[in-house]
Amino acid sequence: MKNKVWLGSIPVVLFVGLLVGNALFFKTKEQGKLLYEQHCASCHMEKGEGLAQLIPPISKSDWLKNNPSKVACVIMHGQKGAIKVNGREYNQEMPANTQLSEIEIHNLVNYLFTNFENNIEKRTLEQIRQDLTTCN
Amino acid sequence: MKYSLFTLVLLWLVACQKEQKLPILGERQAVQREKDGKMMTDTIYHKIPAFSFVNQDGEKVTEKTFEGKIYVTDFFFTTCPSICPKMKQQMLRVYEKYKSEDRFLLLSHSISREDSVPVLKAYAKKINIETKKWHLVTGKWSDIEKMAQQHFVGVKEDPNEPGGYIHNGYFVLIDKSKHIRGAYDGTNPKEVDKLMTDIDILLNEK
Repeated sequence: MKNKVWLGSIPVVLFVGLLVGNALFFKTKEQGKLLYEQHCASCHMEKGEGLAQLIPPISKSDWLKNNPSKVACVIMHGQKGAIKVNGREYNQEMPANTQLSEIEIHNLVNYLFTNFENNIEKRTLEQIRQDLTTCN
Repeated sequence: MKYSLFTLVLLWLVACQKEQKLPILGERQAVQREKDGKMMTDTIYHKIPAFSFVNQDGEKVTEKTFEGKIYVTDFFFTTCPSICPKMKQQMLRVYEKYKSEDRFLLLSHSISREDSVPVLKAYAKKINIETKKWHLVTGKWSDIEKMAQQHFVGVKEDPNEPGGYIHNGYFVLIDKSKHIRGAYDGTNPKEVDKLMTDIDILLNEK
């Protein structure tokens, strides 16, 4: 009898687990999107297209692809000096976002890497923490 | 029957569009004057006063630069991290559409003390614009501030704000007589669509 109740609860436990897992997964995705809209979109634009030769694009960015470990530092501390993105040189100072937490940066980086037609391997929170220790 | 009604409505819409006239914005004053022995009342509309600034090529830009032209103006600064990139993206749409229209110009006032002529020049180069169509100007801060007030645009120095200044992102449409004929949120693509419709109306105005 006891065994039966236990067996019967498995689907319920699984279902709840899936629900919670889903909610967490979408929440982190949601947070990345919200953070992008809040801190990035006014310059890099909603679709990540950037602006002329002033603000580099996020979308299909070869710079992101080639420098995945540097992205966290750029978000946190801004960017000074010339960088080349998709064959064009950009040299406009990007402001820092030191108010963001490691977790927020983690979610934001992965949002950038998996949206805007970027297909870059996601970074783990551990990697982001490591990345942030290498900032200049 | 259905089609003729449709045509009628369409004609009516077209007719209305033709008659459409943009309002003159700002405070107005009634002024009495005498004409042929009779007292008459004239309405004096708000007008953009004379000004003198310097553009990205170091040339003097005054109200005379815009004589006989309609123009769109805004207030921005090159290092503004908040609404300016969006405004410039939208202003570039206007620029692209009207860059070969002789009766039309663009004027952007910088509200930052750091935006010297070379800084504005470098900015103009990056957004790839021609000086004779789009003047980016700088001047004495108090003059720029006064100019903003004349356009009903708020600008303020505020060290606590990102970039050090606050301002709103209006695009203001000025006619040949220096009257304000429209104000549009320069960060909103739909409002900028409306601006471009209104520019066409104003260009057709006699």
